Amino acid sequence: MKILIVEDDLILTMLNTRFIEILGHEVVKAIKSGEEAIDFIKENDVDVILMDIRLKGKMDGIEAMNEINKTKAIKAIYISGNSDPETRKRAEATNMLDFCVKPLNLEELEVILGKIN
Amino acid sequence: MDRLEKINNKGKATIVKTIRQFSLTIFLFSGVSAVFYLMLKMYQPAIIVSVIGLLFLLIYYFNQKNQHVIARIIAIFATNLGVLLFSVYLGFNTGFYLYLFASPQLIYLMFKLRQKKLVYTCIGINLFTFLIIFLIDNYHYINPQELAPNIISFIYSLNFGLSLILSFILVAIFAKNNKVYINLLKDANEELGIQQEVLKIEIQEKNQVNVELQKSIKEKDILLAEVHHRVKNNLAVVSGLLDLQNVFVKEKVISDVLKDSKNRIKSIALLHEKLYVHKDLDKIDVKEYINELIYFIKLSYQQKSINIQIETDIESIQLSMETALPFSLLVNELITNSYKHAFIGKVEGKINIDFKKDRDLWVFKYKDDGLGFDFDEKLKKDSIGTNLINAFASQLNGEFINNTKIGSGCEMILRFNDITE
Repeated sequence: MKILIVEDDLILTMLNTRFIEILGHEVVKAIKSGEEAIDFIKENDVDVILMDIRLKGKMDGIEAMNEINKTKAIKAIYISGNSDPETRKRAEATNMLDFCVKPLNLEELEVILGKIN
Repeated sequence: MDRLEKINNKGKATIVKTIRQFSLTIFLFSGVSAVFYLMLKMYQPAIIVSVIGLLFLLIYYFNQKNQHVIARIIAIFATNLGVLLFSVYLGFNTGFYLYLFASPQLIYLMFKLRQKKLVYTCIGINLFTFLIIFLIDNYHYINPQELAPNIISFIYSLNFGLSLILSFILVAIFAKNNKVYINLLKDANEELGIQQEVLKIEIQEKNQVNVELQKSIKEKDILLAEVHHRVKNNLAVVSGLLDLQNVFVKEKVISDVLKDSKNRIKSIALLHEKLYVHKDLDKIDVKEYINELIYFIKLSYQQKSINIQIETDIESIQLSMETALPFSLLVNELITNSYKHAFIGKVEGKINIDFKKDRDLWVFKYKDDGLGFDFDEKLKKDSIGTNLINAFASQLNGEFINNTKIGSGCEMILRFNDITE
């Protein structure tokens, strides 16, 4: 499965990349902002986006997904340190596969990706 | 005392002063009149005028004693009685009724114009007196003193002149009082205008402070959100590193240690997450928290060969951060302990978790139907999990009952209260 990581923390990006690879999937790219993710998706195909909600730039992860879903129906696994009802509601209104609260564990990611397979 | 009350009091004092001056003037005038009638050997008018004079002295007395209502009633009564008695005694033609037309001014002086009922009642009494005088004269119910036409004419002229002068005096006093009132109101208006300006400036200043406070609150909210974000990211990094390390570890003992540490961090991260989501920012809903904790522990330790059922009966209880941290780690240790050690060699197991409020205390009950263990022995052997359970229970500063025995599963009851209370 081709997965795009959108995360502004370098260490978490590294860890999530390793988790995805351990689980047998491919990380097509790791991107730091929502704006970059929108541009990348225009030119490339991915199966799932591992999307952090709080990002660098003017856009948060949910806003970026709203833009992406206007052209492509790609599912998102949201990772956030904040699961307040309002954020969850906004995330659920997009093409959401799951909503994870940090820290994301290997076992948890395996279960979520297993839903697609 | 507010401004309106001050004006009312000043107005009231003016009326009291007017009544005092008026009653004294009438009393002196009555005295002079009584002497005049006595010199003419007209004893009955002398008595009438003396009675009226005494009544006005009474008005003066009550006025001085602050019995203003009684004083005013007597004033109306004395005026009407005087006019009635003189008119009956000396006849309608002598013109004593003319004083009744001067008395409305007196009424306006004594009462406030807004006391409409009192003013109309007094005017009604005057008209009633005038009607009685007219009827008595017209139908000759009582015959008046016979007086020579030139004397009648003289008395009529005198009464006409005096009542006219009296009316002018009363109108002048009324106008003077009104001027005092108007000046007072003018001053008050000016002062109110100044106060309004001061208030406007104060409101502007307070609005400015409010805007700054709102800005400061917003900045603190952003800062708090940033701190939470960083804490959770850091915990995610530590947890992720342990998780990643665990993938490459072959020895089960080391793998278990890494997994236990990762789950302890996860339970703390979950606690932070719940704390941030909660509106009060210092309380955590335990019910939701424990259910999520159970889900993540299951993910970590669930083995296909054992079917472990967890039954929970948890009330929606709010704990402070100080209490929630040791409590959450205690729950984490107990469930982890059961998953790791309680059901070895079994195909199924059951865990019961109860958390309820009992009067002033919270009661936490944990039970599994596993192998059980010697708690004290494990403590002595420096088992990290058992030592942590003991430490967290002690930190919660409650009553800790441990019925765990080898062969009869694990059973622990903890009664405690909020640490901060």
